[in-house]
Amino acid sequence: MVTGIVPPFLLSRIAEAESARLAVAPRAARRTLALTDTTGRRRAAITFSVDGDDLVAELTDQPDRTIADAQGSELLPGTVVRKEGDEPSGDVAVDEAYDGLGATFDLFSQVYRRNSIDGAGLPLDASVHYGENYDNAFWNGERMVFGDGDGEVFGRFTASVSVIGHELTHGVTEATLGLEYQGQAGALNESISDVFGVLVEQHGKGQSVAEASWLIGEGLFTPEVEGAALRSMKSPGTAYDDDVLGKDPQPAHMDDYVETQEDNGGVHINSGIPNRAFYLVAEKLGGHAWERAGQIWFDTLAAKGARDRVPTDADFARFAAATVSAAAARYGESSPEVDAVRAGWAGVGVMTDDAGRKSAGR
Amino acid sequence: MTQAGSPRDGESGAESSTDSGASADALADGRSGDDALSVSVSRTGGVAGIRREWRIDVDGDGRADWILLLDACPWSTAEYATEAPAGPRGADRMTWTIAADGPEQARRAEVPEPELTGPWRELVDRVRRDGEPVAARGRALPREERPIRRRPVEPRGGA
Ligand SMILES: [Zn+2]
Repeated sequence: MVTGIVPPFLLSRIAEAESARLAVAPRAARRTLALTDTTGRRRAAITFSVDGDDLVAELTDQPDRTIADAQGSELLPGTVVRKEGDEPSGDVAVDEAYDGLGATFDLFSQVYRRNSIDGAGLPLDASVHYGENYDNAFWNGERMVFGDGDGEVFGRFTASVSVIGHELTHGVTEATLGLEYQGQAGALNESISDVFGVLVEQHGKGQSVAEASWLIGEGLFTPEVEGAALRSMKSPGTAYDDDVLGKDPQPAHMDDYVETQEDNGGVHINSGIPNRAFYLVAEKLGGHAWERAGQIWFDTLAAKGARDRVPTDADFARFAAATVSAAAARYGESSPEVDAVRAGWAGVGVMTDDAGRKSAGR
Repeated sequence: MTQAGSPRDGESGAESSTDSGASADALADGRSGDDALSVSVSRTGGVAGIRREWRIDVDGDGRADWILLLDACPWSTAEYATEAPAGPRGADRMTWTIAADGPEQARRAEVPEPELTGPWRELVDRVRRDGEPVAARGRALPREERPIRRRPVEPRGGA
């Protein structure tokens, strides 16, 4: 939310369209207008309320979502079926994508004050019904793309808000740290998407650390699959255990780091390690994970100078050190937050226990 | 289950390695038994990060068709493409590993999802349609009896 000077384009819009109605609005009435500036890029809602004799105007950033339907083809973007402000389409994948992008926008905007992927109101574009029986969701550098699943192992990929948040966060990471999609840097890239993916879900549901499932992609599997979700941040390696799919291969500790050529060096496998580190930090701090733990990770990603602290080929240790710096910058060198961050990384073997003990003053 | 082959006597991979272009007619002449052909396609990556594999064993009548399709695929370019770093933008795409083991030779390629077009795409779609999924454990053939190594871990171009 932004309070302050109302830009001239808003004032002229209000003067044209709403002044007469506002003048007769009952006391304490609130009116919200959706407004787009002249460049068509930044959208905001302005909410008026009456406080005593004052008219109070609040400006809130708004998403600019466009959902397209690829209609079973692999041609992007497909046909636009729902734009910002449109009524629900009645197509469940379209509406889940629209709502999931909205929930993700809200987390970044309301909690971390970042206006969309680029921090400057970038429109959010998604395509659904991509391909035939397509078992995936991905970020192609410009838009989020969702398949319907094969119906045997996977259902539609829009069914999980954490997966929608995961995809949008790839855009944020690309716009900020630009982490390479390979090896440990790639696993960090993946983990950041999982972190904000679960936080979107927790924020939307108002869940505390203890209440949350910490699962990524809950509900994507069909009932045939023995598994709850794609990944577990709380207990990496336990999300599924199925005859056809095998067992969730994620490690929860550096001792079990998986060296592989597949999957860009195991980016979706070794992300279990930083995922678990985040969970440990959040568990230690308690309350709502998006507040302090999430803020520290967000600062590591997007605060001023973030790119200097986290190079594009950063390894886990480098990223861990940057989260400690971010916690210290925001909460102080001697703070429970810094201790929790150190302990979290020590818990997965990325920082030594010595560092954890030292910071805890032992 | 549409598995057509019978258990073969020896490991594939073969003694001799002849020119692939000329192989179609010779193989199509219907030598049977130990020159069965096995094609496997597996995908890794994607947001799920879950490996899936499909396989078909072919001998007899259908084989000439499969060999024509295999020969149409650009194996040699794909072998060298495997180490190409992921593009600067995008995430959660899948990669396909395609392996064909026959009496004459074994071929293997890795194909990033956006490049899975033309004959590659036809081959993958056909194996998934006519072959069978390979379970990560249980159900299928015991691991040691499978004609194709499930996790061929030689890095790129190993075949
Ligand atoms: Zn991802």
